[in-house]
Formats: sequence, C-alpha cells, structure tokens
Amino acid sequence: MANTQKRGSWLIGLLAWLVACILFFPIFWMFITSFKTEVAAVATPPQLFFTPTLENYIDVQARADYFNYAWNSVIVSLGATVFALLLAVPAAYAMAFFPTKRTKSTLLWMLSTKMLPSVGVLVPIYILGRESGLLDTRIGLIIIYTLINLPIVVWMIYSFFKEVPKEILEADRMDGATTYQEVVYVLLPLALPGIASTALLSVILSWNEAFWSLNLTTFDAAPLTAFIASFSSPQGLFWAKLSAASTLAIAPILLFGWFSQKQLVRGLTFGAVK
Amino acid sequence: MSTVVLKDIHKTYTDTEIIKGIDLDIKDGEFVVFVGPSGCGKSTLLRMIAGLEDITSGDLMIDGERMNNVPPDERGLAMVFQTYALYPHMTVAENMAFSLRLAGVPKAKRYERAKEVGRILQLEPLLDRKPGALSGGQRQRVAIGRALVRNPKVFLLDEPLSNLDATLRGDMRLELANLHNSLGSTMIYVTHDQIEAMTLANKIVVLQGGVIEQIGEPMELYHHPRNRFVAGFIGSPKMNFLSVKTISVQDSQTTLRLPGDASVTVPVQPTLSVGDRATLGIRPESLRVDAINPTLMGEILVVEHLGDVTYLYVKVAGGDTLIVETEGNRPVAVGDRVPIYIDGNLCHLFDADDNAIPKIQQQHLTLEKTNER
Repeated sequence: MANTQKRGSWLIGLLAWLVACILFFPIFWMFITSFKTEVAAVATPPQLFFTPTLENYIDVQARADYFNYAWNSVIVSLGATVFALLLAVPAAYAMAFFPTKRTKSTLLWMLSTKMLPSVGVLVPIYILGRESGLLDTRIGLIIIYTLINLPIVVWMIYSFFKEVPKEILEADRMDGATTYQEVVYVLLPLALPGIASTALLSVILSWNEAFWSLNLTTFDAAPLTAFIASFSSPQGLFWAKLSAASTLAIAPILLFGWFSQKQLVRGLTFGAVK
Repeated sequence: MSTVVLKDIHKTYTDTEIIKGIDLDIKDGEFVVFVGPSGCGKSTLLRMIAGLEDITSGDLMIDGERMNNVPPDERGLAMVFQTYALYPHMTVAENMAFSLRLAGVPKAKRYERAKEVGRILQLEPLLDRKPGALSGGQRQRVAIGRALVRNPKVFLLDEPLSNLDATLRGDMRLELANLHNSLGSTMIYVTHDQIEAMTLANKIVVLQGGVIEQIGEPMELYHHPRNRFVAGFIGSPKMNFLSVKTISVQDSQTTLRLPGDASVTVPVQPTLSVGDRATLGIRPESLRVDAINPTLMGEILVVEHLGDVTYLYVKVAGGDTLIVETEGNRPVAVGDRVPIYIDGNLCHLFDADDNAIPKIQQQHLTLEKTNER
C-alpha cells in the first residue's frame, strides 16, 4: 500500500517536472537565442552550444529606447492596479457583506464582459480615445487596463472577503467601528494576502497586455509589449534581436513574479484549506 | 442601573416570522439565560438586542431609553460571540483594547486598561500573543476580556461555551458565574444547554418557535413547568411522559389509568373530566425501583452507570420507555424485569393541549434556611 503510494507520488513528480520543462522551454530558448548571432539563431539544426554575444542587446538599445518603454510599462501596470483596487475594494465589500438579490447576477455580468472579444470594441474605443485626446497617453492606457482587469479583480477580492467570518465584522461593529474603520483596521489586514495576490495578478495581466497597447499607443505611452512588436519585421534576419527584446521585456515581470511567488500561491489558494 | 425591556418584539425575514411577540423585563444585575432548541429564535433575539439585526416591530428599551434605531456601539452593550470572533491580526492586548482605539483613547491608557482586564482574567502573560497562539479557553477569555474593557451596561453572550470541550466548559461556567457575582452587571446569555441555563441563570427564558414558553427562576421551571415543552426541556435526563386516561376526578386528587392496567393518583386541581386523555410527566429521579409496592413492571433495555447513580431505560406496558434513576451500586442487568413505583405526589399532569394542570400544593423550591443547618 505504502509502496504504491510512493510510486504514485514519484510518477506525479516526474509528470510535474515534464510539464514544467515544456512550459519553460520556449523561455529558455528565447533567452539563449538572444545571445546568438542572427545567423546562429536560424541555423539548422538548432545550436545549443555557441559563442555568446551581447550585440543583439546593443543593437536593440540603439534602435529603441528600452527604458522609455519599460518605464511606461511600470507606470501603466501599477497605475491600472491601483485604480482597479480602489474601485474593486468598495464594490467587493458591498457585494460580500451587503448582498442583494441581484449581487450574484451582477458578478456574473461583470465576468461576462471578459468574454467579449476585444477587437469587437476596438473601433469605438479608438474613436473615443481619439476624441478625448487619450490616444498614446499613459492615462488612456491605465483607464483601459483598469476596466479590463476590473471584473477579475472584483471577483477575487469578493471571494477573499467572503472568507472573512461575519462575526469578526459584527464584533468590530459592537466595538464601535465605522465602515471606514472596519475596512481599514479589520477587513483589509485580514484579506491582505488575497489583496496582494490580486494586485500581483493585475500587474502581471497589465504588463503582458498587448492588444490595446499596440492599437492605442505609438511611442509616448508605448509599453514593452509594443517594444517587442517593433522588432518583428516581415523580412531580414531578426530572430536574435527579437529574442533579446523579448527577454528584456519579460525579465522585470519574471523577476517580480519569482520574488512574489510565495505570496501569489498563498493568495490564490487562500481559504482552500481551512 | 441597567435594565433591558422588550415590548412586543417581532422579527420577520421575508415573510417568515422568526420572533413572534416577545415581552420581557430584565432587571439590573440579573443573569438572564435564553434557552431553547436550535431555531427557536434565541440568538436572533440576542442579536436584535445587540443591534446586529433590525427589529421589525416592538420596542427595545435599555435603561428606559428606546434603542431600536441606535447603532450597536451606542447601546452600551458588549457581546461575546460563539466563535469568539477575535481579530486574528491583533495581539491579545490589541484585541481587548480595540474599542478604546476606535474611541480615540491614547495608546498608553489603552494598554493600561487591557492589562487591568488581563489581570482579572489571568491573561497577563499572554497580552502580546496573537489569538492563533492561544488555546480555546484562552481565546474565550480574550473574548470576554474584550467585552469587559468597554465597561458595558449589559453583557450579551451568544453560546460562549459551546466550542469548548466538556471539562473546560465546566471551568468556564464557574468563571462566568464568579465574574457575574463580582461585577454585578446585567448579563444576557444564550444557550441550548439546559445545564448552563440552570447553573448560571437568575432567570431563565425558555423559547420555542419564536415565543416565550415560560420565564422563571431555574428551580421554579424545574418544579413548576408551565407546559410539557418546558417540563421536557429542563432537567437531565429529561422527564418521562406517559399517555394516561382520567378515571376519577375529586376536589384534591385525580386518578389516572396508565398504559397496562396500573393507576396513579395525582394531587392536582380538578380541571379534567373522567375519560379525558392527559399526559403524566415524571422525572427519572422521582421514579423508584420498589418490589414491595410496584406501580408497574418493566424490562430493562439499557443500563447507564454514572458512578453515583445508574440510569435504567425500562420498557413498560404500552411500549413506552421510562428512564429511572437508581443508586449507583444497584445490581441490574439488561433484560431484568424491574418493579417501578410511581409516587403520584411527584408527578406532573398535562392536559390534551400540553398545558400543566396546577397542583393542589406548590412544591417548595428550596428548603427553608433554618432547616439547612
């Protein structure tokens, strides 16, 4: 019995490693390609061993100002996350603790907006952006990102708030807490792991968003996704440079995700095991 | 001076009436226990007093002031929750002093007060711990401490002991009783456990289906239950009930036929008529195994040895099972036939509507003080 269990967990471990390797391989390949020459990058059979070069990184920086894009990404991701949280916390508070007959359907409706293909509203959004002068501005992008992430952010915070025992909030009301005090002193500290992981997710989603950033920005507000895209060209050798650009673009968020991994996992499984 | 008065209190949740008109007068310093089966509305009633639930109609007066629309924290109450509801991210001291923090009391003063209450509840060495590092009993004390800090007019306790194990529950019961004696404040306590109700209360309120079945002192409820529900709810093990038929009614006694062919004469007011159906109630401690003078015979189904006493579950004619309390060392075995004596003077009689028929002479609740010596 113990033996089969052991073998089972060993098999699952192997499977997990396999899946992890498959998922990681493209990133690994992109990373090493970024240190190859353009010729080596397209060589068949692909080369695993080569003399690394930094010329792609130098070229990339010479052609486009990486830090401009990176800074835009940082501002837009953080800005959108802060806005989304500011809107979502009160919304989730109301829905979690003062639900009405329509709360559930409101939540579902919010989620359903995520099912609409973005391209379906591209033209109206573009025209709205143009008319309001928000095209290629960070604030324009922040507004769009806030809106597209809001349903997920509300849902997550709502479910974290649901985990907070009702009695604790009743206790603070008996202790004389106003709504503001209740949220700030009791609810937010209790839901902090959940809110942190929601924020992380929102940052990651915003950072990786490409559709709207490519369509609504040109240079001033263009984030790293636009930076990568600018290195794909229909002709010539560009794989190594594209890899270098991609590596530069994903490195910050990858490191960010890596360092916050513990928080992220804890938040996403929050309440799963009591 | 802190009194609580409920006048015709009702509570309706979307068409369902939970509380159906409660009138209650709680005097200063009283320990009142709301007791009843789950779903009887006792917790809802407490939460309405606390201000956590709206009052659909009726008046709630605390110290003579109408409190229906006053927010919970301004009613001068403190509540202890069944789940303790401590703030997990705060230390014991912070938990207890949270209400003071909200009221803007300076930090040093708050801590001083938390320490003072901690001393009363023997929590001093734990003041800097978080609730997660405490045992169930300690958490319970912190919850009580949080209530104490506020110096409330009235303490509300919602099944505070039900999450504790049996030993600890007994200890905490004693502590609560001591606390009440030393503070002298008004306490309202909700429980489904009739032993807690009997041991703690000055006044028990028995609730069922959103109405009060009876209000009284513990011994009053034990000796003079107003109806069959109260009789069955108060006392452990619960009262035995037998369906009986009235065979003779006189001014001072009524004789009843038991299932089988035995009869019992009970000294009650002559409100029944010959032929009426009624229910005879008799507590296990009032039944005797008596070979000389048996009222009826029965067969033992189960024997429960508790040490000092033994409970026999005896099947009698008519199929009813009676619980009989006997001395702990009585040699009995399952399957034995035992003679049982029913003393009519110790019986309760309930009419067809389950209301108690008044006895000719009221039982003394306690012995006179002079007899005690």
